[in-house]
Amino acid sequence: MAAHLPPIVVAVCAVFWYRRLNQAFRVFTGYLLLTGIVQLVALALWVVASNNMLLLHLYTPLGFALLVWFYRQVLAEYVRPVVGWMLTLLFVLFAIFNSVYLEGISVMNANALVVQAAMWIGFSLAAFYALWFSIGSAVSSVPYQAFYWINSGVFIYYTTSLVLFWNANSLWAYSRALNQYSWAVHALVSTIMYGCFFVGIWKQQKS
Amino acid sequence: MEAAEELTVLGILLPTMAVLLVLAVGVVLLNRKFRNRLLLEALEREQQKQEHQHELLRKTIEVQERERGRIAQDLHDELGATLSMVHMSLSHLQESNDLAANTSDQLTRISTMLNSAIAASKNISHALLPLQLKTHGLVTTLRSLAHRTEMAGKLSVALSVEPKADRLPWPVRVGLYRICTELCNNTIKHANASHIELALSMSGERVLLHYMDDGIGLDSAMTSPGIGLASIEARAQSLGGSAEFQRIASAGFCVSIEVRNTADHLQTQNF
Repeated sequence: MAAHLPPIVVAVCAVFWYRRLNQAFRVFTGYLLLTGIVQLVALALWVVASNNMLLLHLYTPLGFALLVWFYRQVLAEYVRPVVGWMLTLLFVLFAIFNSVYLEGISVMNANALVVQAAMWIGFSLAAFYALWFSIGSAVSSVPYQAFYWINSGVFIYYTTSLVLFWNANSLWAYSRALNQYSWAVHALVSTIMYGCFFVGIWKQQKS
Repeated sequence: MEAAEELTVLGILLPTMAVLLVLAVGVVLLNRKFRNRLLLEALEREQQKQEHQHELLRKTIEVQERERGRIAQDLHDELGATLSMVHMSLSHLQESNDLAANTSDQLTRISTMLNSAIAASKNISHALLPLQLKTHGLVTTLRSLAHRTEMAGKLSVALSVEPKADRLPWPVRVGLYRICTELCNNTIKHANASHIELALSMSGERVLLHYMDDGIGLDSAMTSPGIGLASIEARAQSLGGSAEFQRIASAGFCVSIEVRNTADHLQTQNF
């Protein structure tokens, strides 16, 4: 239950600071808002004991697209726009295909989550590398400190969760205890990620 | 059997996640450390570049002053002396009783032109490097500058200079004189002022020059200093100091300049 709080809290803070944020971080606020709303609706469905997996199937491609848009805005000097568009399109198509033909909307979209996690591990490492080139550059506009925290959160979350997503749909079959422990670790890592997001947003609005 | 399987999976999955978490945090921290090191290196390079530029500026001004001194000396000793001798010879000729009236008139005109040339030569020599600065010191030279400014600009100059200023190293004296000259010229040409205050004081290793006029001030729309102000900043920097301008239009002009009075970072040879 408590794991639902961090995304909602960070989304509220981001909306509160919206006017002080630059264009890229406003896109990130959109991503946080989407996450917060999905969390709230998922919680509501859980309370009424209804299957909320459909939300995950919708959230995965939308969240991916928004986050990629944010990364493209921040790293515009280092990444061509067409690369972002192509990756977004490919992933969204794959997620839709997975939801319709491979896994179905009543179970977790583990395939899409694994692919997404692998992509975000690659993106975040590439982002760290790209930021090295902004050092000493008089013309770089990358808000390094704020983006560093967000990118770190993304990297830590997806690196740790990749293994979990891989086994997500089969964990329940082993045991409820195993399932609970694993998702508890996921909640911890998710909290770390949203903590990093909060620091990133806070630094950006401060600057 | 199932329990054993469960334990095996449990034994692998959770530790794997824990290890991955630690690894991910480690990567992030290492990246931060590496980037900080790159940043420090970039800052050091930038600092060295700045120091080199300051040194270059100082050398350029030093060479410029040396050349000015040489030219001033040559003008005074060679050209000025030659013109004076020609003038003396002409005066002797004018005193002769055998001259026709029109010849005498021509000689008078030539004598007048020669006087102008001698005066111009003195002015150029003085503008390049006032010999007074060497012979009588900074205090007297600034008093002379103040007097000339009052005459040229029809304004009053309140001058306050510590006598210790005469003991400043030569490059500092020349630099301060040039700065004061530039400031006074700016006021005469552009400020439409009626009063100037110029104060030179010393405190420890610092020399403080405070200049103020009651003219039209700097244009607040100006985002970078003009050539004159830029040369003042450059001179102050070459003396290991700085210049701070007050940029408020229609409230007069004010500048505070601070330089070091030690010769450690300067060559002490006379220009």
